[in-house]
Amino acid sequence: MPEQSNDYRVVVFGAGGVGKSSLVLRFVKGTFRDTYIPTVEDTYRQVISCDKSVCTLQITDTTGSHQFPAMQRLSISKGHAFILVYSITSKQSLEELKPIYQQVLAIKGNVEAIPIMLVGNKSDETQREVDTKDGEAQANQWKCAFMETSAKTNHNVTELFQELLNLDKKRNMSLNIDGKRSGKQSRAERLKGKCSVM
Amino acid sequence: MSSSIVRRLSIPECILLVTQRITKYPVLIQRILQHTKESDPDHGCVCDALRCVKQLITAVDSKVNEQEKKQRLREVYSRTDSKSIMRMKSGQMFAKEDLIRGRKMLHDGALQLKNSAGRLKDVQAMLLSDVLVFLQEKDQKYVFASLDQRSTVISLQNLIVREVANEERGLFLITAGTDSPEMVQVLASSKEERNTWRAIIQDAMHCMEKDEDEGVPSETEEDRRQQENRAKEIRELLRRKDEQILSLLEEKVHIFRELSDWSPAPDDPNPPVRERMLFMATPDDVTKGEPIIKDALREVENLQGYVSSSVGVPAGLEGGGSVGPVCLPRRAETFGGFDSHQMNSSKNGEKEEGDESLDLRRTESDSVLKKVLHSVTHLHELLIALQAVVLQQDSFIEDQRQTLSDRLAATSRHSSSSSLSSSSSSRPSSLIEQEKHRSLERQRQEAATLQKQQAAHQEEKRRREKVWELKERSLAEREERLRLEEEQTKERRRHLAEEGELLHRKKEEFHSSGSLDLDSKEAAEQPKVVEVSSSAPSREPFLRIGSKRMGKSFNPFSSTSSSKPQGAEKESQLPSKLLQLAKTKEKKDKRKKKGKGEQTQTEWTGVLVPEAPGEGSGEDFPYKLPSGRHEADSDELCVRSRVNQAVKQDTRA
Repeated sequence: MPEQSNDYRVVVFGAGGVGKSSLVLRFVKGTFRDTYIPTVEDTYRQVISCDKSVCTLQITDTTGSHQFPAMQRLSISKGHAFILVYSITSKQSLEELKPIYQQVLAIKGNVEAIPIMLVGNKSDETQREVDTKDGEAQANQWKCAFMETSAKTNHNVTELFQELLNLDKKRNMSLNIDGKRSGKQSRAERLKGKCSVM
Repeated sequence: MSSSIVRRLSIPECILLVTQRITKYPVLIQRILQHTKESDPDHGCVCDALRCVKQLITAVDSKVNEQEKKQRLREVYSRTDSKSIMRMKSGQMFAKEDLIRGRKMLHDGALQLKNSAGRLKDVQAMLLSDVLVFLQEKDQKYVFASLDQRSTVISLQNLIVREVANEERGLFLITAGTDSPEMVQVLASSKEERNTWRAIIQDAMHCMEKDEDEGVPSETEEDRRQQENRAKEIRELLRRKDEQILSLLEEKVHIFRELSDWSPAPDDPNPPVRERMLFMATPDDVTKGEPIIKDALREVENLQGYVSSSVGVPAGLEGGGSVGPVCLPRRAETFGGFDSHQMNSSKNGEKEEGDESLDLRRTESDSVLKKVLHSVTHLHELLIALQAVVLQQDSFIEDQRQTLSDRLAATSRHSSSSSLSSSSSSRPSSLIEQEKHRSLERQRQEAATLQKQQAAHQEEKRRREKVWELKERSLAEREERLRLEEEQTKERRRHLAEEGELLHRKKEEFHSSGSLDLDSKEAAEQPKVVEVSSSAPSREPFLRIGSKRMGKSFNPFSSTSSSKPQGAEKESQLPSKLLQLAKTKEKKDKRKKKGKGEQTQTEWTGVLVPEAPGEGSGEDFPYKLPSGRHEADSDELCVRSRVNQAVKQDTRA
């Protein structure tokens, strides 16, 4: 489908409560909630520039899908880039990412061409269970990028997404839409309008 | 266009949204459940909802999985070289088309095959419903992997899956072929992967076996149904033939009768009856043969009768008649057992008999030859009827036998399906059996160890319980002892309190009256002492101390010492023993506390306040009271005993 090229799908994986939604919300809306609300929202969108044009960064939150492997595989197969989130306060949450990584590997085959980011969230927390170097070691083993973030303090959140987009060598993407923002926005609107007409 | 639901999403996005959304429901409902009290009537509903939604998603998931596998299989199929072909162990050829022919893909992934030289070959493995296929990529196309001379399309039918002992990623696939078993070693990328493959292959094998046990019967069921239908058709055909024969025979009978009835008096009522009789000899009332035979016999008897009355009878007919009775009774015996329709049929017979006798009476006047002829015709009819019946019986019996054998076969198949399935499915029993034995043995061992562990646990538990019991008992004992001690101490305390009370009272008394206080044991002396002490009010503070601290034994002294100079006239009133006691006491105390008597009082009083500092005058003593109380109490006890001693001495004196 032609408009598929306008979509760049990022799939966010992670155990419950590690802050997947918080990260995404912080990135998309710039807000943070201290209370835990299980995710119902399925996708978030952000307009980005891609190969000198505009496309939609579509972020898919996968809460609850781990119980249904086939559907999880479906999300993986539809995804372009992956964010694997764990909480630095829980070693278990890092462990739970391993089968997911294996799955991504199995479905995507060669992971080196796929942008994958291992993210240690809640870096503002003091009760750390996973050291930064542990996360780095895991990322090295998985041949993926690594970052520690805090959705609460907005540390490294935007960087995370920018870095993720940079990882994709096939496309030249940027969070910052070059040119005038307003013009960009209108272009995006026009583009989106075109999509919906179709 | 800007609906809140679609939010300008394109169709693929919407689809993705739907697939994503559905997985969120359990999370949400779980959350609701957490906030619903168990007593709430909604609790059950929420539980149900959670269960239902999970069921639903599981169903969707399995469908998605199915679709995914189907797609994958299609993809592999489209990429497979159509010229590639592989001979299976069974000799069957497996080509590209066979990949999708009635097969489903259950699992696929990359594996490595180890050839006889020990070299590893990367292959794409696919587990289909009943075969395991290894493909290798060649010029962007898949071809069946080559592995020495071995087949890389392995039927699950005779497969044994074994872990390789010294290679944790390895798996042996042993094809227990009929002639020579074949073994393929494959390597997975990891131990987990290996285990997944093994589990899935074994599952598939189980599924297949189940299909064989159930599904194949379902196939054979269809087969059997078809067979049954075919049998029914054949039976129908047979019956039709029987009917045809019957009608032919009947025609024949008619012709025969016509022939015989060239002579006058053709009996009208008979033919319909006989026809009916023949018509009615359907497989339902198979016992029709008996009355026919009876009739035939009777006819033969008649014939014999006529013959014996020396009337010429055509030899051929007579011979035909005599053959009947010879061979027929056997049949009659066989059918005699099951005649339930005898009533009906015997009625027919009776009628015939009646007709016969009528005939006979009527033909009495005619020539005997005519009778004989008639009888022979009748006999012939009967015999033909019998033939028809026998024919029908035959087909019926055949029928029965077939159903019986069918049923037998069915039951034997059922009973053998478990035990003989290996042999019936042409499985080489030895290897499979061995494998089964081995796994059985392993399970047994596991069970045994489990039991052992259980026993050990039980033992441990018992031991622990015993120890606990012991501990508990000792604790209880200790508690009991403690309680007793407590009681004792309470008792003692009470005692002490009583005594303290007593002393206090005495002191009070003394205080109020300004006289000496005496023990209750010395109640006899008390009045006098009181008298004496009342005469010395000036010494009161000091005396009070004395009474408190050193016991009453000193009181008499102090009182005497203080009262002596004042009232000598009372001295005579004082009992001599009291004086004596006081003196002994004084000596003892003097010995004990020498050098303390620097008080302004007499040396006795100085003795009375050993703890008091040197400057201690009478007025100082009250301060000492609280601290010295305890000592006083104990002292009091010993003093009292001393007093008692003294009293005894005194009385002796």
